[in-house]
Order: sequence, then C-alpha cells, then structure tokens
Amino acid sequence: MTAWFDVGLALMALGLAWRAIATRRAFDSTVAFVIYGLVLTIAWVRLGAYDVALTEAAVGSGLTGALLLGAAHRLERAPADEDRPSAPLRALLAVACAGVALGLGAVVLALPQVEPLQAVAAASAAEATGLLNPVNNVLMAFRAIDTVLEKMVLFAALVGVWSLAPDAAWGRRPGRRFPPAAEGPLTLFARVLPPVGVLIAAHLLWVGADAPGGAFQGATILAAMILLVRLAGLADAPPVSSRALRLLIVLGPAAFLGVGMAGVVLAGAPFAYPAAHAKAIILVVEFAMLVSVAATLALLVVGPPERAQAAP
Amino acid sequence: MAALMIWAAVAIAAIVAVGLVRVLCGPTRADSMMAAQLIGTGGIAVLLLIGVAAGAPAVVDVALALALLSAFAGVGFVLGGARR
Amino acid sequence: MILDVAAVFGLAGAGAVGLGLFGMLANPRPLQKVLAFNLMGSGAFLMFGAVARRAAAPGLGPDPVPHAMVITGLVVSFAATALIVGLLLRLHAVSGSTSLKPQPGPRRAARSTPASKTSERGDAA
Repeated sequence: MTAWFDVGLALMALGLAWRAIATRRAFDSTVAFVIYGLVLTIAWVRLGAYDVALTEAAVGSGLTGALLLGAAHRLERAPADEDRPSAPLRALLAVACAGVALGLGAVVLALPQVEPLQAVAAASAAEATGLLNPVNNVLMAFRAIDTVLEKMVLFAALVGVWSLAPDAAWGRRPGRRFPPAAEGPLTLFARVLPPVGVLIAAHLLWVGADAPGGAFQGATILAAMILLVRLAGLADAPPVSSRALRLLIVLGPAAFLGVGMAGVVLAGAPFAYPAAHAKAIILVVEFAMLVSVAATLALLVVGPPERAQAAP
Repeated sequence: MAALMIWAAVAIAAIVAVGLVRVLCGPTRADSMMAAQLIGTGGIAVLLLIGVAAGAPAVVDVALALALLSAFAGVGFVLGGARR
Repeated sequence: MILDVAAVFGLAGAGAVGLGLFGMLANPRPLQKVLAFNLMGSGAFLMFGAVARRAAAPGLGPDPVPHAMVITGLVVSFAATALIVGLLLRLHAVSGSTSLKPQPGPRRAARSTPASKTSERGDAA
C-alpha cells in the first residue's frame, strides 16, 4: 500500500515539475513550483529525512516561491522573448534530457545496499556534543566548517544583491514600499500570525538539539514573518546603511567563526567544542545564527534598495 | 491502526491530486491560489497521518511549519499576483 | 528489482533533473530558466536522499551526512536564486527587457552616426 502511495506521490511531483517548465506564464510556473515543493516535503518525510522536509517546506517552497512570485509579478509587463529553439532542436534537447534522466535512473537502481557507516558513527558520537539529533550533530560539529561557509555564502549573496542598487538609491531602505493596508483581514493577520511564528521558530531551535529542527529552519519561519509584516505595510525594512542592521547580519556568522576559532585554544582543534559545555555553546551559536539568518533571508527576498527619494 | 491511517492518507492524497488537476487547469489566478491552499491543507493532513502511522512525532513539527507557511503563501499570492 | 521507497523517489529525482535540464535549455524566458534550474537542483537533492535512505542503519534512521549536505545545498541554491533574480530585475530596470540576447543598442548607435552627419550636411546645404 505504501509503495503505491510513494509511486503516486512521485508521479504527482513529476507532473507538477512538468507543469512548472511547460506553462507560458511565469506566475503559473511559480505556483506549480511551490506546490511541487510541498509534495517534495511529503516525499522527504517518506524518506525519513525530517530535517530536510522542514527545510524544503521553508526554503525550497516557501522563500524561493515568494522570491520568484515577486519577480514574476514585476516582470509581467516585460516584452516576452519568444525566441524559442526550433522544433527539431527542441526534440533533440528532449531526447538528450530524457537520456540524462534515464542514465541517472539507472544509477539509482544500480545503487548497492551499503553498510551504514556514517549513521552509526554520527549516532555513537552524540555523547561528544550532547545533541541527539544526528543531522544537527553533522551540521554544527562534524561538518561545522561547511555550515560556516554556507552562512558566508548567504552573506556574500546579500552583498551581491545590495550592490545591484542604482547609485541614487544606495544606502536607503531596500525594496519597494508597501503602503499600509486599511484595517482589515490582512492587517489583523499580520499582527496575529508573527507572535505564533516567533514561538514556532523558538520551538524549532530548541527541539533541534534532540529532534528534527534547528536554527536554520527556525530562521526561515522568522523570515517569513518579517516579510508578512512588511507586505501588510505595518513596518518597513531599515536602510541598508544602518549600522545596527549590518551588525545584526554579521552577528551569527561572526559568533560561529569566533567559537570555531576559540576551539583551537579550548579544545585543541578548530570547530571543536569543550566536551563539558558543548551543548550550551552550540545553542548560543544557533541562537545568534537564528537572528542573523532570519534577517539575511528576509533581506534577500526584499532585494536591493531602489527608492531614489528617502521614504517619509 | 497504522494501516488504517496509511489508507486514510492515500485517500486524502488521491482526493487532493484530483482536485489539484482541476484547479490547476482553472482559468484565473484565484484558481491557482486555491490549488496552493488545497495542497497546503491536504498536505498537512497527509503528513500528520503518515507521521503518526510511522511513529515519528517530529512530523508534527513539519506539519506545523507547513501550516504557518501556507498561510504566508496565501498572503503572498494575493499581494503578488491575484490582486490585479 | 524491488521498488522500495528509496528507488521510487530516486527515480523521481532523476526525472526532475531531466525535466529541469530541458526547461533550462528550451525555455527562452530567464525567470523560467532560473525556476527550471531550481527544479534540477531539487531532483539532485532527492537522489541524494535516496542514497541516504539506502545507507540506513537499523534503528538509527537514514545516513545523516547526506541530509546535512542537502540542507546546506538548499540554502546555497536559495542564495544563488536570490542573486540571479536580483540581476534579472536590474537588467529589466536598465534595459526594459529581460532578453538574454546581445542588445543591438550600441551597433545601432554607430550606424545612426553617419546618417545624422548626412542630415546635418543636408541642413547646411
């Protein structure tokens, strides 16, 4: 029974993927992509990857969807470039891409049943950090350097996005201004939902030590709440030249890097934690990352400063 | 009990899939938005059912996050595309 | 051949990679190219998830290392998407179009210079 459920889910995902690439309007493609992300969330749960399911729902579907939807809305009036490849060329491309997919499929079916080495290693090393969630152990301890670099990538992307600002708008508030909506459902919604979101983000951060969850998933929920408040016109983003904002963005990566370098002195290796306080240190670093990553993700969706006049 | 929950999850997934086909073919953008809301609600139900059937309490957190984000997606759709 | 959960979603991942690749190559619109690229990435992640599932230890769940790498990958692909979308919106703001073809602007300007010179001469005459 569950096998049929999985097959149905997989077919649904592929159907939505097909719709995402085949429709003409960018808006329809984006909607199909968001729904595809939600179907994939269920697929990740079926694969036993609960941490990935949370991340896919939050980033793969939620934030990427918000970003693409905003762009589709703004590019709607752009003259459509109908310079599609000719029909024979497209047929050739289809055959080649089907070949790639079939080859990858054959590789999947040829995968051997391997000995579970890493799962056992990660589980047996849980005492070293005091965390019971193996994925967070990998992210925060065993491959911490990857996680630091990932935060640097987010930071670099934000610097890149901000650098796209026109000269006249530099240093001002990012994105377009959303006028405050009249008192109504949206305003009420944007006031009621964020406290719930903050609670869920804190919950995900806290349970992330021992169960699926963690700083990044919490940060995404927080970023969605920031964007909601902004969309309802209740608050605007601070100017990009704001020192407080910049400190907030750097706080998380700096804390992680600082703790990692302190490990050289305290525990004998970079990104090693003193065993007695490992869990407390990791939670402090995760909290700092929660705020920084939430701000960075929200600002990435908002985009570069583009308002030439100062907002009143 | 677990088998019953899997059956229920399959039934909900099938109903959502059928609804999805119809709604995605809909002519207006409001239809697309309804599709996203449908899969949001149906997806939460499926997640909770298979999570309980598999004895994985963490799935409840995934469903919780999905509930919050699909509410956010609704606002995004209204402001981003459906209003005009 | 046993079609277990890893095989089913691994095959779905392979299919998503193929569809994404096709969309990226065949669709002329840049925004949909970006979307197709994301589709391709998610297919690759799904195949990774199948690998993790294959290496599951009894009682311990799937291999956590691929999961951690997929989470990192999702974040990095979001960052890249945000940067590309920013570039695209800036291109649209500057040129009024999102076409990826080389713009004929400078060449047309070079051609119009002799024409304007002749008209000036005509005016002088």
